[in-house]
Amino acid sequence: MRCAVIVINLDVMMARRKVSSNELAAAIGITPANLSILKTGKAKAIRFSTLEAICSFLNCTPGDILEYREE
Amino acid sequence: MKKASVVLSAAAMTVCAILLAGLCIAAPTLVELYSRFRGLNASSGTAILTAFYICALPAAVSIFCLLKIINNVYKDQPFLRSNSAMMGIVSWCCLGVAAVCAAAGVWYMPLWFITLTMTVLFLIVRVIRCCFIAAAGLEEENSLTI
Repeated sequence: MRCAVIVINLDVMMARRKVSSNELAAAIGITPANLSILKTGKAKAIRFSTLEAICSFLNCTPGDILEYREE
Repeated sequence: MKKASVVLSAAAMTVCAILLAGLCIAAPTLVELYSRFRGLNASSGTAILTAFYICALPAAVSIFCLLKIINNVYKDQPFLRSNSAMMGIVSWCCLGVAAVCAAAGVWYMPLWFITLTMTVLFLIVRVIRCCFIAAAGLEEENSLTI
């Protein structure tokens, strides 16, 4: 049975842009705890508004942050 | 206003707990008076008293669980998995009381009305529990939506 997952590459993009977690959390208006949930892949869903704010701040596209991977 | 309703519910449950404790002490006297008033035979009185003391335990457990649930509601956490687990305990307590009254009803028939009532209550609490489980799942999903 094929198993596919959505991988969050937010930490990779943050490292590329040299942005800290607290800085990003403050910029997009979420708590560092929620950002941690997002980074660790524990989140069940992401709002378009959050994705939009992340992409805007990190100057990237949703595809840079979310990756579809078959395992 | 919302909190006032929760506090009122908690107060009502505390009163029920105190009443239950009082009834546990006064039950033999009350049953004796009732038996004399209704002209019941000794076996009926014994059945009522035994059923009451057996049912007092699930009643106390139910009150404790309901107080825990209302405490969580007061803390704005109504849809927790622990709350649905507590409702599960309450429902089994209802069924336990129904079973005890069904057995005691052989000696004192009106106890079968309590069996009927508690069985219906068991079903109602199970349905509410299922709703709580579904709501807890939605709440978890919502809190993990960033």
